[in-house]
Amino acid sequence: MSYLREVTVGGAFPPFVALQVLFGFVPNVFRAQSLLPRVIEAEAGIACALLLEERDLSRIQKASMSLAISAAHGDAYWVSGYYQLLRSMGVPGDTLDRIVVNDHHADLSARDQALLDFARKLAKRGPWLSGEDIAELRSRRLSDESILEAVIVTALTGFFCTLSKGLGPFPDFIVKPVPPSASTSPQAAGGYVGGTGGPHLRTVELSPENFPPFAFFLEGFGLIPNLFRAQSLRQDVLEAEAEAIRKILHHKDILSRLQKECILLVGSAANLNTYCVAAHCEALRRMGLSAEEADQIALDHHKADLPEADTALLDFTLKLTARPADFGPHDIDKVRRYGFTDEHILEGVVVTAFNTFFNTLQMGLGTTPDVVPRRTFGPDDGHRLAATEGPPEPVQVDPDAGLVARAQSGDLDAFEDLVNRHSRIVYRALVGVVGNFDEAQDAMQETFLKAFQHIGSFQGRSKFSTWLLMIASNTGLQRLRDRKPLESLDDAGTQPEEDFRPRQVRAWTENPEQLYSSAERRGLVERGMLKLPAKYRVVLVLRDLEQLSTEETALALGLGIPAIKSRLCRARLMLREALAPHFAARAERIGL
Amino acid sequence: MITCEQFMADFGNYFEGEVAADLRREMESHISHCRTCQVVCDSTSKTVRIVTDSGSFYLRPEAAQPLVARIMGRIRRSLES
Repeated sequence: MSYLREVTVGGAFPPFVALQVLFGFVPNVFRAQSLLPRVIEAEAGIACALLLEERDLSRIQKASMSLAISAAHGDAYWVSGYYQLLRSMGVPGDTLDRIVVNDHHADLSARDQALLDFARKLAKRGPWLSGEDIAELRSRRLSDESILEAVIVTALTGFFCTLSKGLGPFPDFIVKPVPPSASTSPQAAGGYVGGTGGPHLRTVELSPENFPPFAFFLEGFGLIPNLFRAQSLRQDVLEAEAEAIRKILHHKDILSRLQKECILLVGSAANLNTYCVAAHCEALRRMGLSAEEADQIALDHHKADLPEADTALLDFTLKLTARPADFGPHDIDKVRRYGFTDEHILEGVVVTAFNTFFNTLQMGLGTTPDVVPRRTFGPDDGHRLAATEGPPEPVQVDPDAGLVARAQSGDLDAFEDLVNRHSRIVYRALVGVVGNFDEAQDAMQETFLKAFQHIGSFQGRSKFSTWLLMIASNTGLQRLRDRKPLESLDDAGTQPEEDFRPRQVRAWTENPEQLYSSAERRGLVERGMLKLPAKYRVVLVLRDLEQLSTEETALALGLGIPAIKSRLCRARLMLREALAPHFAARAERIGL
Repeated sequence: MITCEQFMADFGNYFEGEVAADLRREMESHISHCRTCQVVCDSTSKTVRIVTDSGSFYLRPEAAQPLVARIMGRIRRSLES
């Protein structure tokens, strides 16, 4: 369960097998991306290249850095994950607790402590990182290979933390609370550097002729960016990065290349990354935008000439990058209102996270820009961007608007298209209300006849689909009242939601889906849902089957948002009770 | 330390990621000690996953088509009369 819809990928999916080897489990943050398996492949590719082998840094050193960085980001999801991983490697809990709270009395060598301090600074204060910080590591006898590995580990951890903030995966383990002090930014020792002053590390000469990733970069970017040249000591990671660029950025079946470049640009500006801003402005210029238009997107995309939906998507990116602690499901709902599907939103989160990865790499490596920057970002820009408040509530963009307008002018074919498009959701909502398949079919016909009669009065104050669901729920409700006066959507019949107490408290098996075939699972769910009172069932249908937002569900059912939230929770808990005997592991019953 | 009853009272909002940071920490601390609430949390998550992927009450296209034809037939007849 995450903010977005998930589908079953299967345990034999190779990246899951690799992640199982890497972490000892498949973190839910990767399952939360099951709508786009190619992005999981990309992420697992980099993670395995970097983390699996013991080359310059040990696996414990790398996981310890990730734990410290996750704590610095205030990311309880990953703190719990890395904590468990390190415990499984034999690191004492006391040492890990001290790493989480950045206590320098952890039982670590001076070298390991220096690595953690470096990683924290790069993760939280990247623009203040300088050649002096690199020199400090060298003075601890860390080789350039080790330092490069530390930079990439920090970048990858930032990538994964942005994913967890953006996707809201269900915890893999009991969550370890992260004390607020752990995520305090390290002191900005030294002046603002802004990712310049390098390259900090030794490189080896590679050419496009003998190293395919460089040929790929040359073809895609028209040059081999210094950011990649600076990682030439890790050719395996460069290969994985090139593959990730192919899988995350080069596909244009969900978000367009232009949308992705805008995300990268806005994210880079939020991270004060002059190098990456210059690179993405150049990429947009190659796509046909003027230099001034690209600058405007970097500085304030609200003043750029972009479609409203794309502006909302960039607000989403900016918040996830600059204010991740404030990011939540309401931000997902906001972009959904602009017609973005869960696939679009997932890709938006992944591209934003991928941008965190490259921005962090660049700050750590200090590479000089490939093109002359038109603007250099400074610390004052950070204050401005971080303080950016969310935009005003967006105006809804209805994907049905065109068909509705034609139907309102008497075009029957357009209305038929609307019926075809919405018959499934209307039917499901009606099963939710009336709890009977045959009656739902009758009520569906009645709903569309009413919609046709009244379409002239539809003024677009809500989405057409929401308006249709309002008609459907009223139609179903009337049938319910006629048939069974005691059961309705607005009754106060059963006990209040907050009084419900779970009774089935046996732990469930790890992968309950594997116990039954999909048809059997569907049967269990349908039987369980049909036994729920209508007022709970319909909310469950609209929220968890149809994936409507809380606001849309409230509008469709004519109820307040608090009522929807409490009924949804109650409905899930009641259905859980009904399903528990089928999915609980054979274990001792635990008393509440 | 909050009780199981207090945990369940805020469970819906917690599950949706909509509790304030302080309360979230208290709730996370509770489930780190309370096996029962941890089980409820985990199995509710699995319930939602199973429901979401179940395709329940799905109206198959071949079942929807005659219904759409019937709806449009009734509309066309009503316009003719």
